[in-house]
Amino acid sequence: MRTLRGSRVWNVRVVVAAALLVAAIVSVSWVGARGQADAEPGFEVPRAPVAQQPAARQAVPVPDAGAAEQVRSAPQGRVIARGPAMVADEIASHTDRAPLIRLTISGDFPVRSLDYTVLVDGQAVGRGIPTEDLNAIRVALPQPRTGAVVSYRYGDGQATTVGPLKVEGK
Amino acid sequence: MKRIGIFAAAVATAVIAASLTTAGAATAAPEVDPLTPGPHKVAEASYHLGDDAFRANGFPWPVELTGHVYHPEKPSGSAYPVVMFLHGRHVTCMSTTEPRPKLAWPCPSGYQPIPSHRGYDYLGRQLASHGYAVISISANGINGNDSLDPQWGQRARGELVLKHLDLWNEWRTKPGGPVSVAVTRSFDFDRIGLMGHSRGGEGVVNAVEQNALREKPYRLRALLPLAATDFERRIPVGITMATLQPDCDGDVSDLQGVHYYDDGRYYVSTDRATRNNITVLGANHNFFNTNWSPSSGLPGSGDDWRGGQGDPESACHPAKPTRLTEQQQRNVGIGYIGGFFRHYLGGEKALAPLWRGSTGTPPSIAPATVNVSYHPPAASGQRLDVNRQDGHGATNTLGGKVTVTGAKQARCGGANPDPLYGSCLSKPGSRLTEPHRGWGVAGVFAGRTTWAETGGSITNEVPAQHGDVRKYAALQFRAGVDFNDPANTAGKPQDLRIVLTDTAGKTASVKASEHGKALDYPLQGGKNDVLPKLHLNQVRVPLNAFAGVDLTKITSVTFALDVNPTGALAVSDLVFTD
Repeated sequence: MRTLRGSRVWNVRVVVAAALLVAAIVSVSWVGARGQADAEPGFEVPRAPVAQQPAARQAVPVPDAGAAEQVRSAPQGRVIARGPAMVADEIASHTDRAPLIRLTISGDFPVRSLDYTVLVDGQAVGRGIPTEDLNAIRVALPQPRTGAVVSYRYGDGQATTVGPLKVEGK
Repeated sequence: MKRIGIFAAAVATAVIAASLTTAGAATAAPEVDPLTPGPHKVAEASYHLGDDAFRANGFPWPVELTGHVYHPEKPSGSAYPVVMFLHGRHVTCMSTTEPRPKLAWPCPSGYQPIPSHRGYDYLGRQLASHGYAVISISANGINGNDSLDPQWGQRARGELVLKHLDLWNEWRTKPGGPVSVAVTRSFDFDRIGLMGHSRGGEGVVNAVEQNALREKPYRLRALLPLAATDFERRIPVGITMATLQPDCDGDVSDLQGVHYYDDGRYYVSTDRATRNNITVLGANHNFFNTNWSPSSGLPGSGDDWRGGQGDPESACHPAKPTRLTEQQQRNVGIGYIGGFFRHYLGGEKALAPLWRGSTGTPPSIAPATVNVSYHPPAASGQRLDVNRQDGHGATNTLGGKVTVTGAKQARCGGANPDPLYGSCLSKPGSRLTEPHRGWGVAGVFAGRTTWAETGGSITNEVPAQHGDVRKYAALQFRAGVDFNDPANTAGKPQDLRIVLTDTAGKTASVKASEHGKALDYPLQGGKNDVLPKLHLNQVRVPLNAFAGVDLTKITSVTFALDVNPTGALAVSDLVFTD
């Protein structure tokens, strides 16, 4: 009897210990393995390739990040043109190249999902970069011309006319 | 031997017990109403690792690692699918003394971050109550500087999503997170879903692509871009997805996020993922986020549909019954955003009718009208394309004849960016009025179908080898009512009969109007408004509605244009489906 009881106790101990051991091993390895796709045969990793660059949106020029930072934040430079609610100034480039011309359009420009695009004579010249206070947008401008009409639009919406530019004498 | 046998039994028991824990608690939901909270008590916690804790590749500005997690209070081994939320572009900093917010990062002295990521608390808590681990992450650092980034900050957003997944994956085995390791081990990283709002919608799409390029990608299984931008025109493939369009969106007013559905339908023939498009009438862009909504009182919040200053005649005007309040719109969010993850990530089969579009909007979500389109994969045999208007007017996708009698049908839409020649409207369309057109990329081809007197028909022959349709549950097509064409009576629904014919010449017909509101006249806008829009809504008719025809020997599908005397519709995606 004593031998039989001892045997049963041993069996129970083995079962409990084995169960705990295996559960621990399985649990730890399982937790570690989850989250990686190669652990599941047949799982197809999803993709999201670019179909094609849409021509219309690609047409809006975007400066590199360094130039864009200058356009947004550089101190006021020499004013070279003005217009209603706008001023164009010459600011230092972040490279050794020629100075940048920056156009600032004053107004109310809340942060939203789409970009503001600045147009000169109906042609997109660049993304309107909002200032910190959201009371203006700024853009790098090609050489301004007296009489050139500036407008901006939100997304692909209707353009709002700001007015004509007038170049100031040197 | 006996001892070895007992030992083996113990091992087997342990293995089975461990494997059973993979079955998520979220898979069992007795309640069908998607608004009913789940059984779990919800706990939540915030984490903030610094305003300059992350730098994305090619995005040289500081980004915070900040988030908020909602989860069932009681841990349960890897039972809870993970859903990550990413908010969209919004102003970043506010002050208690200055009325105007600032767009900067980190916030200047005297200003504090606007908690855009907490605007989905209502949704996170609801999903957590159903057994989900929801992590809503902050992206103010990207918003503060993405106007300087040629990629609109989208790559950075995608990286940020994966960085937070990395953090949580690490916290499942090591302390350091905002909750205990026992809790994080309850998060099921085999089932990960992503939801992004606005630019965040495009951000989570970007995360899908960046994840695929990793040596050990995460198992992303469900994707929901909400009122999303689609600047890059990425096409998600191999992942179950839904994209949601608010009809009164005054921000992403061209509803470009619909391209994620439209462009991907036939992009990869072996794609085994299901797609859904959700159009919510009367909803705007901001109200899905409580902290972007006027009732929050936070700077930068507002009604993006003209800020309440628009034309009072518009169906989007807040005084109109067609316009949803903040709470009504959030009910849509709980029902359809939450319902999406519960069905596709958690496996709640009771919600399937919502996603096939076979039921109307649930009564609890009234008065909202939500139109759902469903595009299951053909690769798995769930869909048979009859006519997707893919190029041959006289021949359909099955190779059968298309016969037009007493009506006209011409192909429209697709990628053609010409406002006139690509238009499915009788007057030139725009991105605002025709969101389903590709405007340079893919888009939906449709058949512009017009009739000037009753009795016309469009018949699609079904070749004999495809005539046994018993394995399918329904016949579907998408259609939009031309609001420019006087052939449709303003304010009145359009209608037609769908007729199935078998080899014996027996026919059965069903009116489209008996199966949903897809052909309702589009809601009308006011002056300079975002409405009306040509939505391609799904008409889904169960095959058991066609009594008396032999579903093993179908020879044709006909649109009988004899309900109303005149009409003008754009029709696409005629399919048999599960």
